[in-house]
Amino acid sequence: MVAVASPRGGLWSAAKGSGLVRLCIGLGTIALVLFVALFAPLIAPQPPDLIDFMSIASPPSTEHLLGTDEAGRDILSRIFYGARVSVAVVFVSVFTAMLFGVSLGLVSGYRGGWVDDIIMRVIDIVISFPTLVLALLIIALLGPGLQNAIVAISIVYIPYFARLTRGEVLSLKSRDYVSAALSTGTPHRVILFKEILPNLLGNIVVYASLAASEALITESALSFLGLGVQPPTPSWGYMIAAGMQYSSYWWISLFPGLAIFVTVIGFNFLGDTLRDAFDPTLARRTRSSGSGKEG
Amino acid sequence: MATIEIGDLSVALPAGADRTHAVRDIELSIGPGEMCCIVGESGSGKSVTAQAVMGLLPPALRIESGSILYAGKDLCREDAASVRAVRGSGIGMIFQDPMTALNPLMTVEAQIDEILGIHTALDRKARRARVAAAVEEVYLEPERFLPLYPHQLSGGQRQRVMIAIALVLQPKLLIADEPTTALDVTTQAQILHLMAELQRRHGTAVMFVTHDFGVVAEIADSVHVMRHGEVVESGEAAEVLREPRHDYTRMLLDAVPSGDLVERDGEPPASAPLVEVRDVSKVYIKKRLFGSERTQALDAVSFDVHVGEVLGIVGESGSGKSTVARCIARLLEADSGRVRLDGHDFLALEGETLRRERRAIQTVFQDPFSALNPRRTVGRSIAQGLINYGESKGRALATARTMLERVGLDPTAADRYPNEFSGGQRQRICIARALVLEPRVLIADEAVSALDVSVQAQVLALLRDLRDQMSLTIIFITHDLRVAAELCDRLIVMREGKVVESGAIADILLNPEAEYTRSLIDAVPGRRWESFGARAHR
Repeated sequence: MVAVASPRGGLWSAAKGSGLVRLCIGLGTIALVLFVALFAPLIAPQPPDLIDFMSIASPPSTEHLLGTDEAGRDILSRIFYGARVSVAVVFVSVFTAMLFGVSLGLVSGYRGGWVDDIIMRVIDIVISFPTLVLALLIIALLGPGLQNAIVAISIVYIPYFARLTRGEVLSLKSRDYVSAALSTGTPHRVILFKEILPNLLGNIVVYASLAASEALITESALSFLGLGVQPPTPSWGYMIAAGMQYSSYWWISLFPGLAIFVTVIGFNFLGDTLRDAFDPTLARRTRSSGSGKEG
Repeated sequence: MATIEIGDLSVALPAGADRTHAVRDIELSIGPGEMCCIVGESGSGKSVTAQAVMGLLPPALRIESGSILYAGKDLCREDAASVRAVRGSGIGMIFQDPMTALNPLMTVEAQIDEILGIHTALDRKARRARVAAAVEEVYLEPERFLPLYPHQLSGGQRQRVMIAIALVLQPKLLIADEPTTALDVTTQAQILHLMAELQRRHGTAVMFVTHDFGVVAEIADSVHVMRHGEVVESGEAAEVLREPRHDYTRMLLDAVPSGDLVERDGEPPASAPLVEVRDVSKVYIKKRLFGSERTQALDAVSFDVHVGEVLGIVGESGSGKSTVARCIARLLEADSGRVRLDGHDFLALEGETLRRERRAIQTVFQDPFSALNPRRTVGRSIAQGLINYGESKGRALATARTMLERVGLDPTAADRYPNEFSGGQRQRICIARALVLEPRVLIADEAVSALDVSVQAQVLALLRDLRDQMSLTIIFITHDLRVAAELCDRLIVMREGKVVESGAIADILLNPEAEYTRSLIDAVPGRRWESFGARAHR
């Protein structure tokens, strides 16, 4: 996704070094967003819906660092409060999707047979819709709003978690330690939760951090279309949409857009580093690169 | 003049490794027509030495000092382009796994032709002739094999192609890094024979890296024994094998399972058998885009196992020896046939009854690295079995500690995770996990195959002790007749899912009836050296 270390750069230590940089950027960004979301009332210069009639749609200034929107509200403050919506949607929906997706994947992969067939065919169908179209469909059924956006995004990402988990379970199931557990009379429930689940959690966490960035984009898109959180609650996607009508006031759309961009990059960096850390084959490949055939 | 001369070669390891140098002060020279074996256990630096000569050291390793003289040039000093030219045409290489060393998308012909295209000025027609000659030399018919892709070849054929590729430019030096380790014994014997023949014909100098003293005895002119990155002993192969001077060499040679038969009563006891396997069959079905592919893994396999005996099942890959073990342990379902344990039908058990009865048959697997859950402590892994059968957690953990002591590990090992243990220690842990349940039958499925010889000898000794102390019944599966001879009372030889021969171990090794058994015994590397199995006569 974000290739910081060039594959032919050679030194393993250098790759490791840039991995550390990525981890810091990723963790730092996400920590910043979390901090802003939690303490928005304390650090925001103004309440998000305070209207300053003296400066409507004014450009960035010392008074309003990022300018004001078409209704005279401070954009910086609205971005801070908007982080709350984004964080809530991303964390709740990714966690829910993970919970249901991993459970389905575990059952499907471990049980096999017709249960697996049914679960996987349903998931194939769900996955064949583009994520946004599916989210729109669910919202059309449930109606717009924050809670329904969360429900929609959760449902959209369940299949991806289920598929990933199922694949992992299939490969872990054939490990000798699972065979050993079976032949020492371990009940299936214990095999599933003690032998298999702990060993696939790493990959799931990695995928969750990458899914988080996509969930954020989906949420922004829903808000942009006016189907997510409803005004006057500030949300980054909705702020971009509002600014679109006033193209000469570029700051109204630009700064919430940047907020989305930075958060997405943060999640991606975090996910990339986690994946490298959890994936032993990747490390091995880096170490033994160059041992090809010659002559 | 020597073909290659390595002087004082040291390769440094990155900081934080378990030692400072991968190899240190290596002195070695190989003359034309000399077969030089570098032998050592894992981590001894034998492959690093070969990689240094090939210029294929992993990026983290660098040559610290020393010289590698080839054709008057020091490969450590010359610039990259001229070194590449020398290596390309002057040094041929063969690797352990021919499947990964060959390009899967190119036919045999294209792979060999590519090299000729790069290194010679021959035209298309002349190249075709050279390619055909190269393949013929390794006893593959050109018309049949040249249009094939690597996946269409068997392991032995692939290694032949690799040899053809390595020799097509008629290099003065051939480097072979464990070229027969991934092959079956009979294939290994053919490849060794082929390499020796080609080497004599072309007068090539060969650097042959191996872990197997049997292979050394079979082909080597000279031998260098390595340990912890240093050469501890070197000299004429025959001399080193006959009179090893260094303690480590002596220890390694003693550890090689020699195929000596310990005096044992090979007749099955008169009592009723503990395990009766009757007409067990298994077909693997692989779904393809159109239709399916059937492989008869087991074809009506029958045998008995008696209380207190060690029954060896020997066969090459694909013989079905592991499949039959998995069917007996109910890790795989047989298609037909019966397995009786103590007269009760074991294959008919289901659900909760099966779970309860599983206790009677325990398995030790081949790969000690995938046989333990990396995220559970060793103690928990061993204790889980007892907990499953109703023991309290505290008592189960206490028993696990005693069991660890019994297999020669410190009881404190119980609190640690598998990644802190070596392969041999892990295999002891696996044995402890199996034996803590006091099974009626222990299945050892290639349980010592992945281990270094010295460790293998220790684990075999442990199994022997445990068998004597606990009067264990063991089904011992191996591809290595030498190992089987060390431990087994009776032997079954399997091939392509069928039992070809069975009987007391001495009978089979000394008077094999089946043609296939004879070829297996003939293929044991180094058997002329220790006169395999002969001591049973005395």
